[in-house]
Amino acid sequence: MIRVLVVDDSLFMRTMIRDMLEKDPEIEVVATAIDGVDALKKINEYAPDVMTLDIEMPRMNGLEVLKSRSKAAAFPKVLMLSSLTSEGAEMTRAAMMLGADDFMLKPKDISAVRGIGKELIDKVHNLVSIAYVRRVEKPPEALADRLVVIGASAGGPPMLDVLLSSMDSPIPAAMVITQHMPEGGFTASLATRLNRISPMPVKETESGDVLLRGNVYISKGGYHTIIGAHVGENGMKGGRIIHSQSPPVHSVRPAVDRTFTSAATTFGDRTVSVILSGMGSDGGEGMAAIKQHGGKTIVCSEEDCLVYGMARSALSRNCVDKVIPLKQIGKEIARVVAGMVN
Amino acid sequence: MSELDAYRSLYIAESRENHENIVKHLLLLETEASETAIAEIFRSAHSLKGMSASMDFKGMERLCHAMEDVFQEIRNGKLAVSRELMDSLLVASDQIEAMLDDIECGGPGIPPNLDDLENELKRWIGKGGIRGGPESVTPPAAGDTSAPGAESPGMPAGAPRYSLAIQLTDTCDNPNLRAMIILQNLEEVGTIERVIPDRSVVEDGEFGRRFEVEITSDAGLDALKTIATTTDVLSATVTEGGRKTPVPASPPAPVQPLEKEDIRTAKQPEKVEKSREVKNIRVDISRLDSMMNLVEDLVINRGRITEIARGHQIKELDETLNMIGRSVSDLQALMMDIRMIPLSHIFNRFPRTVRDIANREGKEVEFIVEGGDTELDRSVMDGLNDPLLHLIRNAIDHGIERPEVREAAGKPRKGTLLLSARRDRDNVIITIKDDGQGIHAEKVRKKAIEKGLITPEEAQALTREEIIDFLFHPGFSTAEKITDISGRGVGLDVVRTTLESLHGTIKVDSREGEGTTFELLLPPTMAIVNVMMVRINGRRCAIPIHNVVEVAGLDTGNIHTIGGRETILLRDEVMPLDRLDDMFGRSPATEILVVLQHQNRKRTIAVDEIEGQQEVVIKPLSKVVGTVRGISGVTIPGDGEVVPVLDVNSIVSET
Repeated sequence: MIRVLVVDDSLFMRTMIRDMLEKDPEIEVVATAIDGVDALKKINEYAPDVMTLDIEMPRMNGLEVLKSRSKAAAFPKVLMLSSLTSEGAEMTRAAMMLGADDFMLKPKDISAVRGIGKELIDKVHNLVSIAYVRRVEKPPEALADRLVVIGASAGGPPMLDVLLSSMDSPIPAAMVITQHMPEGGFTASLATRLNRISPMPVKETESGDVLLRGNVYISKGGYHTIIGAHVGENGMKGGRIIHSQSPPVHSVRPAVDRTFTSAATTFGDRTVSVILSGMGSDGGEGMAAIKQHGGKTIVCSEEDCLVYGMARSALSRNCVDKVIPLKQIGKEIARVVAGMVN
Repeated sequence: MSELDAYRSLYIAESRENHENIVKHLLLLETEASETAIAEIFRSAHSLKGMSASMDFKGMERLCHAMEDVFQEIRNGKLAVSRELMDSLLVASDQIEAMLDDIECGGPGIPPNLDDLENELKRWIGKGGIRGGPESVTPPAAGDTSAPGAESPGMPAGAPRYSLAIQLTDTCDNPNLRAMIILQNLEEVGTIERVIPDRSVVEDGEFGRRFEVEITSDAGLDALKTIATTTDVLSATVTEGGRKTPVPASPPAPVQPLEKEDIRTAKQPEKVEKSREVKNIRVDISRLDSMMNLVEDLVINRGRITEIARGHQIKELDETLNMIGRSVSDLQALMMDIRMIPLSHIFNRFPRTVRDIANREGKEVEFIVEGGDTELDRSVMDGLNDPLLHLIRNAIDHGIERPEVREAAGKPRKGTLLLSARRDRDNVIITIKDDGQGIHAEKVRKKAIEKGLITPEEAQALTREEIIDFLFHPGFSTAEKITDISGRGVGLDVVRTTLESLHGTIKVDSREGEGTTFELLLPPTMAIVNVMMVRINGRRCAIPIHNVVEVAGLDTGNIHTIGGRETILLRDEVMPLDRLDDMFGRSPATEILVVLQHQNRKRTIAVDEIEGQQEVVIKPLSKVVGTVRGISGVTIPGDGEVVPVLDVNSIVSET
């Protein structure tokens, strides 16, 4: 049983979050708290495993709660619930730095998306089941000659947790993950979270980043991630991140299609592409381009996805090599990458 | 109720709280630059927006988002609070209320003028000369712009054109390879229009380590700079429409250190001491009502047990009953107390109303509220809002004069309107007092004659008080012009009726030229009523004390039959006499006369004896019995007997 404390100053939010969580038989909401002061009290009282934490609250806000972390004897894992603004993104980033374990955007349009609570439930499970990794040695700074690109949207973040934590050792390729998120800085927080649980270092992309072997890059929100060509000083060929501000594609930026298509041009048959959960049709065209250039294409099976729109757009183009469950994707990537010998 | 319906009602309840909080603090903000108010409004707008997003009420989400943004600017000191800004915000907050009403009725809460409202707020953002961060100028999320890769090769028309001049280092081994990589990456983000020297020349390496590219691209300057700045590039210039942007030469092989965490120290929100209204648990009022019912049953049954015990004389039982009795009384008192809420709940809305009406009417009003902490039973409070609102509107509309008129009369320009509440023993007295022109009794008299309510002769005989009382007459209005605020002729009569339904009364005192005072007297609760217990034909009956004018001996000599009806002469006053025989049976020994009054009409009834006065809980008649004329409910005193409560209104109104 995972014991959860729900902290939010809005009764509406508390009720909704609690209802969502309690749909899972393994989660028990042991208490709710109306502000930071109440939260600290309830942590001592109930010793929960996980706490969902709102940021804007009277008396004591979410950040101040996190600052009191060191004073408490046992502190639960913290899942920040963030609002979808640039201010919210800043706060989330600050919270992650203060030791929040993960964050999630506050649920939107609960009536339209069935099972929207799944993402929340999955995150809570991941918080207790996925341990932080301690990377002892840095990967050698070598230009990556192979590239893994992953595209995801709604329902994606908890899947990335599972995928990255299931890869038990660094792979000899660079990995670029394009996850739809509102711009403003949430992708930096996503990178922070993933960096803690992945065997490979994870960072948010910056324009000009040279893709290095064994490193993971999260597409920065608000820009398309273009994979440009790059040749190292020794004449070795590789790739480089270029942030493009051209208009959103499928109303999103970063668009998976833009990352995938440019990856196909630059890395050709040394590209492995994966599509996870996501609404809409972004990714299908890009995956088709990768297939056309001789790269590999993998799609997650439907039962593991909150929404199957993006995957379906790829499947409808007959460009998918494999449809496999989420838990196997990490291993499959490692296997395929290893098979692409220089 | 489905889960979603439950969320919806939760949403509405909490949104209303947030809305009230916004209005309250907006008004506070108008009078003083309060940081607390700014923080409170920001947080309420923020909460509202978040909830609305969850419920997918897009209109509300957008409007609240805009409001939140405005307060973000105010909070950061980038925008000053002005009268004009307050107006925009108040309009928006009114709209929020209207949208909530719509949502409550099952609508989507999207008003037709949403765009205007949103723009009205948005135009404040970025005013004051200091723009927000780069986030605030993000380009609008365009719709699905055709297929991916649209910018390469066929750029959308109108994409900006750039010129790049790139100088490679002398140590560069393969200038052609470097150039090709740059050209390839440029093609990924735009359309290359021209290469100087010619592309084939560059690809053959036959150029002096310097080449120029002309390109159209919508990827932005930064993307082009990133591409131009790569290994072995000594210098690069990107020119956009004539403007030159030199790019610093790149260090060789820019390998990004991955350990560098991109931490910008997030700005901490100012810690503000929040003044929140006491917010404990929320209980549906209907649950309190059922609890109250249970407590009442307990009271009744305690009475019965006491009666039973009396017949047995068991000492321990009596002691225990005493204890129970005390607990039950405490419980009852506590229940009454729980139902009490401070008047500030409705008082808080009025400053806003006063401000609006005063602005519209071109009047200057100092509005003073006192005694907002006085408590009233929730059921009484619910009915009080409209009458108070009406009286306040009247005071500004008819009472307080225009500033110039006031000055001419030697009064301060600004009129004063006082709304105060205080406790007087068990009752609550609410006073609304203005220092306006008062009621012109002469005007009222003329109007009453005009409307045919009285003859000129009758009018001469009436006192000033009696004349003023005509204001409460249905259909009476003396406003010289009809405004949308008052003067429609429905008003004071409705106010009086409403108050009476709450078991309260209203009095008016007015001096011409000095002002008018309305005094409302309200019982603290409606659930418990003070009654007079009487017996008619041996049967008990309760009469609400507020209807009883006096009790007198019944002198049969003063009974006269006029028009087939018994009437009685009491101190020169002729009043109809009711024996209530049809209800209680003919009583052989009626000796006492009780004078009843309802809305200035008097009646008398004959009773056998008066048992006394007591506080009782009135319960409505059960649905099985239905409505019974003359009886408003029943009460059960300690002995367990069911006693009817007389409905004086229906008896008096009978002709």
